[in-house]
Amino acid sequence: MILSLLYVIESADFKFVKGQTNLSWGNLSSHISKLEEAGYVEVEKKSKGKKPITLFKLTLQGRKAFEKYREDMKQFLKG
Amino acid sequence: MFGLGIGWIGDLIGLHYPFGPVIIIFGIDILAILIITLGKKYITKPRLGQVKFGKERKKRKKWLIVVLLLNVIFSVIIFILTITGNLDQFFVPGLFTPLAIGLMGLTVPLSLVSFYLQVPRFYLYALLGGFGFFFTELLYPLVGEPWDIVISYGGIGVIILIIGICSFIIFLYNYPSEKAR
Repeated sequence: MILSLLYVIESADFKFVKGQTNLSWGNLSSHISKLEEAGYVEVEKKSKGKKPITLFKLTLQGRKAFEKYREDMKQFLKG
Repeated sequence: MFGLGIGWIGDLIGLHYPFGPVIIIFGIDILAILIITLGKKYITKPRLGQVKFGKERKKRKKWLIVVLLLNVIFSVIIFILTITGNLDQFFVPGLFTPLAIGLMGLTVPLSLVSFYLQVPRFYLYALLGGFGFFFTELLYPLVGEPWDIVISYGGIGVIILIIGICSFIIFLYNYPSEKAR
């Protein structure tokens, strides 16, 4: 779900991804950590004024992995 | 469109036609842009979070700018033809002229905005806006000036405003602020 969301955008912050996926803070954080470890998601920590912002972006590897997953699913559903 | 409906106020405050209505319409447009900008900063972003859209969306936005620029050129030509009194030379007189101007000047560009931004309710705005001048001409023999345009475009503006307020309330309900959560 996180990968499909990040696939259609360039980058998004924690709040946006949380709102779109309906995951809890802890759950999302844990998923993102795993995706980051796998090299699928890039995490960038920024600060806007006094507020810290965490931005997520799909890496090229993540993009290719998602495209492969999509193709596999299409083939599977075709029968 | 609401600006078109109340543009006649420009005449009332002593600004000569067609500059009075044009100043009122631009004033309303600037106010709308200001509300959208402030709304995005203080209402949408804190609730939705920050997002940068992908290449496909950026490409669509570029096309949209081209379409809107063409529309601005079209509107300026129509405005010049109107103030010089040459509009009827280019269109068939009667109800066809307002219909053609409305469809070309509002329905087509607003439909393209709807298509490029993928906002379906803009198709309704495009249709309402496009038929506005036509309704104005139909109402003219019945109610005269300025009530013809007040009822047609004022009414259309109010309908769009109500849809916008409803969408805004639904948005606030679906995305409550951090404090409310």
